[in-house]
Amino acid sequence: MKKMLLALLLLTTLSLSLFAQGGAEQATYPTKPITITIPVSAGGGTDLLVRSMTGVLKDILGQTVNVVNKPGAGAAIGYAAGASDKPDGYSVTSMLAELITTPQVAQVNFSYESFIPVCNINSECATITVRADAPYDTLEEMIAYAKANPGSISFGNSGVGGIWHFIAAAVASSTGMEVTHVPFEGGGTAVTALAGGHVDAVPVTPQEVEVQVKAGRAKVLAVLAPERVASLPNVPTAKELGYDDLSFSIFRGFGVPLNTPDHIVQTLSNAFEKALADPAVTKFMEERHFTKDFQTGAELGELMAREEKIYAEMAKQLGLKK
Amino acid sequence: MFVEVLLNVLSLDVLLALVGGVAAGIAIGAMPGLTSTMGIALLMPLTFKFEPHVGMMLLIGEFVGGIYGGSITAILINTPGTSSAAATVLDGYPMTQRGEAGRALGISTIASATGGMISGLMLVFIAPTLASMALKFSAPETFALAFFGISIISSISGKSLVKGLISGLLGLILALVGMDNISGFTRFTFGSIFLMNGLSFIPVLVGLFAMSQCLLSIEDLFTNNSVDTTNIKRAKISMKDFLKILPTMIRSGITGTFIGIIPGAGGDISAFVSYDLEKRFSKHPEKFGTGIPEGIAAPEASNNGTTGGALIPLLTLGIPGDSNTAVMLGALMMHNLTPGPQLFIEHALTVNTLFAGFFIANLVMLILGLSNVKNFVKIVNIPKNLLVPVVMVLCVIGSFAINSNFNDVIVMFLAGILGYILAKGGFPLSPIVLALILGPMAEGNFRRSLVMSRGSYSIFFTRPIAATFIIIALVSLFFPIIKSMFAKRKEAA
Amino acid sequence: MTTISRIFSSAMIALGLYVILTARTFPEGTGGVLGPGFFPILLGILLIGLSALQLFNTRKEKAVATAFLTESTKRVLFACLIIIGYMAGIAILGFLISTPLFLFGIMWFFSVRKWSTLLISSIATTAVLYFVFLKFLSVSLPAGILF
Repeated sequence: MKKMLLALLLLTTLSLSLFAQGGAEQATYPTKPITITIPVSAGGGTDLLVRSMTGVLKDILGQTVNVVNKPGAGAAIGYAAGASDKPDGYSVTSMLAELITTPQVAQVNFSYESFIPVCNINSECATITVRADAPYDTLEEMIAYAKANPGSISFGNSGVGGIWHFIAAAVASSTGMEVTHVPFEGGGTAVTALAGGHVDAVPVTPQEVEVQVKAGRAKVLAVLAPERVASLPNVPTAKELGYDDLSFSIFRGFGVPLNTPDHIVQTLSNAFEKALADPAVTKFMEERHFTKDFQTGAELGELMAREEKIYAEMAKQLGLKK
Repeated sequence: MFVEVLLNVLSLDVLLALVGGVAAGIAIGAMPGLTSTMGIALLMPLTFKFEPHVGMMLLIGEFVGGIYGGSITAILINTPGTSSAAATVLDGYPMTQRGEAGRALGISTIASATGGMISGLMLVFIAPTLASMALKFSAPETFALAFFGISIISSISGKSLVKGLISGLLGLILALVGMDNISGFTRFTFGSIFLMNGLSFIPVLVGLFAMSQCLLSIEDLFTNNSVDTTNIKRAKISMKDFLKILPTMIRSGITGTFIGIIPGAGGDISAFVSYDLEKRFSKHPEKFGTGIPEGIAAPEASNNGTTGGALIPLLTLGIPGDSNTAVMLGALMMHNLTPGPQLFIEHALTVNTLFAGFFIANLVMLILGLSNVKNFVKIVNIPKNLLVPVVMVLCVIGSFAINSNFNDVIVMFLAGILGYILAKGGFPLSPIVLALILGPMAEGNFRRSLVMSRGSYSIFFTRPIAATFIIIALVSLFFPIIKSMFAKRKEAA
Repeated sequence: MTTISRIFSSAMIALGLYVILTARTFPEGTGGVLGPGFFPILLGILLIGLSALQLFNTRKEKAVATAFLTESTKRVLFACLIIIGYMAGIAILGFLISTPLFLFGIMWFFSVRKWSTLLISSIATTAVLYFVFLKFLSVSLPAGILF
């Protein structure tokens, strides 16, 4: 018995040390599983999209790709963790609009410049969605109504200083509507409040209001995108209606910590581009109305720099600047 | 249609998905730190490999089993596996301490299944009528419900009302930590980004109950004051027990269903509400907390009642009633089953199969639960000096797993020490948990209501549901205080 | 119990004061909407009031004069130190190495002296948890900064 135990112990120690050595660096990347940190909770749009790609990524990279959710505090927790990961290419962070909005309103130790952008995979647009029984059917009528009844329009958002708060504020300042901003815990809750008639409008993505629009409880007056959206072909863009500045790209991309070697960034970018072209991923994205939008790391970097200026300006206007 | 549904449900893959889902749910629910929401999110990628109805069965099984599983550890080792089982420890553990763990588990299993079935019946027959209730709930109503929930503190305080209220206030203050959703201002975070999100609830729950219980057990370890295990095998649920808890189960199942429908309110709140209601209308309220059957049946029937309740607005309106169904909404959409009235017309077969599967899931849970009572009870027989270390490890990795954040482990440990001190000082723990769940809900929605009404307080009194709940809450908050004052006066006289 | 309850109630009064003083520096609400400081101040006042009431109610109870550090309190404290060591171990060495060490150590402290029990339960528990969490549930476990 004692001998057997000793053998068992030895075996365990041996296998433990093997595990430990698995981390030794080798010339070819990747040699061990890659972890993608998602700064929002499991089951949401970003989470589903990334998880739908992990299987394909495994085939492309030859290594398992794990997903870890680190949600909370306007994604600040996930980004603070992601920015301090080892720059060895095995820690990838999902980059979302919160990476730009959260530092505007809260004291955090990261910014969009704490990451090297790898690539962008998907972009969504904002909408102006109102209750189905609202006394207006177009954006012009809504603006006229708002001006005739000052202070009557309320916009639900996903929290003060969140992306939807900024966008609703941009809509208000561009159209001259006087708007009350009602913060909820997340975009989904804001949509529920719209469906129940407790707020008048929400600025969230077409995808998030899809169910309520189909059920006849909400209508989309305009999409805040450069072009019309495939799933809503009859809805005009704000640009068509004369509001050129109301066009936003709610990006979903990936980043790695600063100092990650260039060739690794390139390998990852190629892998994501390839995964995006995979038929299974394509089918998934079409069915769930995710808009494919591949952009290189450099392009994503420029996009973020542009958006950062806009949101910083808005934070000042709203009096949210930290 | 009926035959097709039957064929669908009784196919091998559906049954396997249900049994697998329920079993996984029970295991995940029983482990402190792993919640049914997490289980659903983890199982979700698996569902894409199956046909839509098979995949959904897996998730429904997990949901039902996960809510029930939390009660097993709550009863056996005074550690709720999920927040929904936090109220079950009140009477579940005292019964185990008397050596009646088998009886307690039997009651919780039957109550859970009954509560689930009742909510299933309501789901099938009156879903569309009830669904509109979910839409009526907005900030003022949710505030009123949370306020009512907080008023329950006075009834779960145990021996000393003042100590219970102090615990509750401490919980409310701990819940203040983090970024305030209404103003974007961060409170009591000491500059820490981790604290911006507030104290994570699951680690605090695990620390307060499980870790503190481990620390308390250390004292017994060296004196050998262990649970009397001699009569465990004899103690089973009897017909008498069943008849006694039947009305409790029915009332609590219905209450649970209603609370499940309300967006943002789930099994944890409903379990406390049902416990409180049963205690208030009981002929022997003083026996609650000593390990009586009704004290286990009420929270367990109620939290499983929320499962069917939460599915009502999910399927009819596309509005998730709690975090579990929020993840399920994603799964439905992935399978191209867009919730709403059309779902019942376009996918009638799938919907009816889901309904039938929901009942079978509860049946599977009943069978798995009852047939394993003997195995579960063995946990109590494990010597404390082996069990306590394992539970400690579970506390640590459970609180890490929830957000993959090591700071949560530290929060869990500190909560464990706090729980230990509170228990030593005779302060009850349940009020803190209730306050942590409801505090942010009450404050956020109170101020959100004022944003909506542009500062007018009339919003709380002109909306009938909100006004009703506020009045009930005020009565239930002050009634025990007034009662105890009268009692004291009588004593003095 | 009475001693701990008194110490705790006094601590709660201090906490209440701290909360009120901090919350007074929070920004004011605008447009009739309550600011972030309103509820903390309200809760702080209630906490101080109730804790004072608790102290007042128990003023006549005689605290059993016990030594502050009894034998069992010392044991709990020592166990806490072992747990702190375990948490530090996880952060540095990772789950796989620290867990069997912790289990072995704390079971030894709980006077388990049978070598076979000590070895089997610490290694088997670690292995089962490792496979359940990492392989079956694909939940990540702390790997430690060394790896």
